[in-house]
Amino acid sequence: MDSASPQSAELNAPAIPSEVGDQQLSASSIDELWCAADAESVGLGKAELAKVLLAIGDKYNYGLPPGTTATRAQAFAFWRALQLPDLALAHACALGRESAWRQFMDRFRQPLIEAAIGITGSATLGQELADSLYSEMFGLAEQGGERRSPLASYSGRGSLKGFLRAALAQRNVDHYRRTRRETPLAVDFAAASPDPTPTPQALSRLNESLTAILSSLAPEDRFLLSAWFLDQRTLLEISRILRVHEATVSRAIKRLTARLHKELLKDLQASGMSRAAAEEALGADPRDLDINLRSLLQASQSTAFLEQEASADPEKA
Amino acid sequence: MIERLHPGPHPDADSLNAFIEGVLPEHERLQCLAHLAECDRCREVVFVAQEPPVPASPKPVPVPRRWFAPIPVLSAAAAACLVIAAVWMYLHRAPAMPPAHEMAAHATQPPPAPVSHPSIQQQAQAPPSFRVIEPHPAPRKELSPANILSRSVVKEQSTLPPPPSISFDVPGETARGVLRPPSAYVSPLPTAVQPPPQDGLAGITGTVTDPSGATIPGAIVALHQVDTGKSTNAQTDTSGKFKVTGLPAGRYQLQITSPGFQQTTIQIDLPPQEVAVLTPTLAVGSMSQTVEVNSTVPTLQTESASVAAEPQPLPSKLPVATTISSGKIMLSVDSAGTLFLSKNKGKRWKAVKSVWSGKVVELAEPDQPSTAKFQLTTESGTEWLSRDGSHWYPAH
Repeated sequence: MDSASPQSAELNAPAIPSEVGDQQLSASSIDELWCAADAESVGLGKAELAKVLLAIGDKYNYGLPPGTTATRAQAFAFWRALQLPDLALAHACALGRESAWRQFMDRFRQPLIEAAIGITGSATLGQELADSLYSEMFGLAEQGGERRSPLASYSGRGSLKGFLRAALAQRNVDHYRRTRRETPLAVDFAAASPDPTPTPQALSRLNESLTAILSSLAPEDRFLLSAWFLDQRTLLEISRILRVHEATVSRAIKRLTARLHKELLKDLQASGMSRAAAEEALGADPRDLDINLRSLLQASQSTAFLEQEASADPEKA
Repeated sequence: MIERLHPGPHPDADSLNAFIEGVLPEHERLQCLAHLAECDRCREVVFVAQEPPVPASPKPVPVPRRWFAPIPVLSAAAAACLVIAAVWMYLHRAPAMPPAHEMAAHATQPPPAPVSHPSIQQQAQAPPSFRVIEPHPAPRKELSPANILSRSVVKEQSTLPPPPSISFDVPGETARGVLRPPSAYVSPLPTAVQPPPQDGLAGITGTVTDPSGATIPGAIVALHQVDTGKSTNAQTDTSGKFKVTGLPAGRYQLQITSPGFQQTTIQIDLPPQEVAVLTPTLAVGSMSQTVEVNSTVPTLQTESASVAAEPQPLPSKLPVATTISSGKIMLSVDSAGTLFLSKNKGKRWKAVKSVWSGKVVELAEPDQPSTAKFQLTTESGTEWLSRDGSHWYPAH
């Protein structure tokens, strides 16, 4: 880890232009953001902080939709809304500043272990998971001859503690999914096999109709159906993710199920099936529709996405 | 067990964390949701990375709301009011019905010395013997309908006849007037009956009037039982009424005296459980003169008889000076000289619109009953006649 204090040479710089976009950080803005981030205590210079801020702003277009050019005020407001102290700490750690690491260890070492234990449900696995992430953040992994720390990807939009939890969760889920492949496939298929549908022709029509209807749903509705029917998440878990009340989630699920049932019936009847046959295909009991939805939603993942995932993560494949 | 992050098509940890913490802009949030809807891996990451819910603090067990939630200040005020009300009721109700032995003790005790401005505590702690006793609680109770209904029970409980008690009627009631010839000075015979006393004993009540029909207040009614020699005195009230109850059956002699009037003596046989109603008329004269009337025929009604309806007081609330009646029609003149008419034997009265001037001083039957039924004389001496009591015309 190398420690540097480059701020003395940058104090007189009038403005720092972005390497990617056309935004600039004025000296007064840098001073204000640098003070707000308390970057001096973690050994991060003004130029380093300005570089990080400009990169983040360019990456996320200053919180604006793509194609929209941010004004200077919007850009400054975006920077000001970031978790500047956490951002300075994370990037100072990624740069290997000792003072930053001391501070990081003091603030996040124990919460990281506790979060890992909470996620894995085991003290041993939790400690191992926390250690692995800690070593990775320390920069033991290299890519292209450079040390690469996950902390460098922290944008400061959320809290650093939440970022660490998400990173832990990612690693835990990936590990679980990798080891789950060792379990016999027959067990999963047997557990996930739906009830027999009336006829293969009816099932085929049902799949086509359901795929078309699901693709027309809003992203939030599709997430809701997936989390509820596929992941068996509780109303509380979904409500915390969507930041709505549990009752709202419950009503939304009920509304979505009814809408799907109605549209499926309509679509099946339009394809030439009688109403009785369509009802039989769906199942008179709505719970049968849930089972069909589960199987069809699981198959609705696009092939292109799977290919993208495989190409981006060759180790996982 | 070192793994790399998955930057590729999956949202990175930073974006997922921003999504979890709800700080993503809307367009990024929708992109993330669209990915999460199809990517069970990232969904799982999102749910796993959530902060564990903070255990809710134990909620207090809801206590069922009472129908009356006491407020400290109001409850204190209500308690103070209750205490004051209780003290007031104790001070005013305790002497109303003292025990019999206390009543007997009061009769022998001298009246207590007046205490100036006693405190509430002193009043509350003072024994009942030092309090002022209301004058006539018991006789009023005897005449109440409830006591009439429970009379038989009381009669069984009373083994010895209590001493006669004397009381007056409620003030405000006017004396009853009856049509009598002008020459009759004394009308001692009982004309009506009142409810019998509740203790099974007899009683005498009545109204003392002068020859003009005006009541005589303050007249002394001395009741003497001939058989035993016991004597009881009563005095008429402001409306000229008197009442003596709790009398054993037997023969009685009443001596009625009043200053300016002749003394009147009435002999009466009083059966048990009956109340005689007398309407004695005292003749004008000196007190030394005595008029004796012997009432040997018992005209008392039994306890099963219905109570006669007494005329209602005049609307002016003034004493009746003169009364005359014919059938159901009654005419009365109050002490102010106003004429009142009743067409139902005195149940309801109505003032007669006067076509004369001045006060009415006399009511009488006309000399020629075929032409009119009633005749009145005003203070100026003019006479007026009427057939129905409401329409009047000059006599001459």
